[in-house]
Amino acid sequence: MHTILPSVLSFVLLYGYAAIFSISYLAVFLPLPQTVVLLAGGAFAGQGYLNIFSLIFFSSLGNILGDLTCFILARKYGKELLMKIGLKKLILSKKFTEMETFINDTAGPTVFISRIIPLGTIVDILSGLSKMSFKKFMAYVIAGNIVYTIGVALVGLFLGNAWQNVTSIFSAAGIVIAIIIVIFALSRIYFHKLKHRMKKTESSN
Amino acid sequence: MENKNKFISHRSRKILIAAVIVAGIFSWLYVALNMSSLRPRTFYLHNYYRQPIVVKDISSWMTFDYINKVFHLSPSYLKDAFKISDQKYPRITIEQLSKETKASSTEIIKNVQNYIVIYFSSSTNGQ
Repeated sequence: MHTILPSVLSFVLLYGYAAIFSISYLAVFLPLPQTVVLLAGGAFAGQGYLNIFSLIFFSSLGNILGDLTCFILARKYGKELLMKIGLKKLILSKKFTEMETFINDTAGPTVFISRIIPLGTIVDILSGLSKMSFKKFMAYVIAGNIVYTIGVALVGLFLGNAWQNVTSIFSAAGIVIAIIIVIFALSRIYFHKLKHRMKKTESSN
Repeated sequence: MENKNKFISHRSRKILIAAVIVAGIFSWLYVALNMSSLRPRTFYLHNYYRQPIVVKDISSWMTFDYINKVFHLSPSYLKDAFKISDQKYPRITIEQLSKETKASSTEIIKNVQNYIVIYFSSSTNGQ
């Protein structure tokens, strides 16, 4: 990420809001340093180089359109694609149905919070696969993205040039969140296997 | 009507909450341990916000347009100082200038810093 960041920052300084919009849109599909760019954008706005309201508008717009694109593609072609690549069993499994129910039951908090933590794309895909209502998804995506964009841009505006010191904290926070997710997933797998083993022992007795 | 979703069980929820608390504690420790290096830059003496840019922060990814604006330089000052003939000026980066002139970006950054210092000392003396 550190090797592409200088190029991305140059891109922002050269092309302004068009760059902000395209980075925000593409960050849904590619591993781009969108949070850092938004932080830097807030600092640039504080220095008078960009306008904070335009920054928030174009960044939110890019995020929202990116999320909607991902959701629509997953909704229309997601299951078909998964079946084609040999995951038919997964689609037809009980766990998948439970996941769909969970996503639809907790649409609001799941979609909203995933805009703030680095799980946005995964939730977009799962929401699409679960055939979540488009209006519901759009409402929470718009709300979540606006809150996220305003929050990060204002932090950048507040810090001014000190934003460069804080990027390491954001990177560390991202790593911590990723570790939590991995621990959670591994613990789920472990307890599931343990439960299965215990059931087997009970039935053999 | 009961609607118990088994996707996240009670035990998994406890583990997730514990993991979030542990991660929160480590994050707080990280910020607290690094606060001393953050503080001089984050909490500026006269303003608690909008830390201004200083010459030593100039980096190769910055454009001349950006440098001119944040340091309030005359648009042609650095162009004349570096004898830049590129039509795209000031929308070129220090890195791009370094490639065009085959000079190292570190050298160009040092020169930019010196020119800015000279600009402000001559402006002060002229008053």
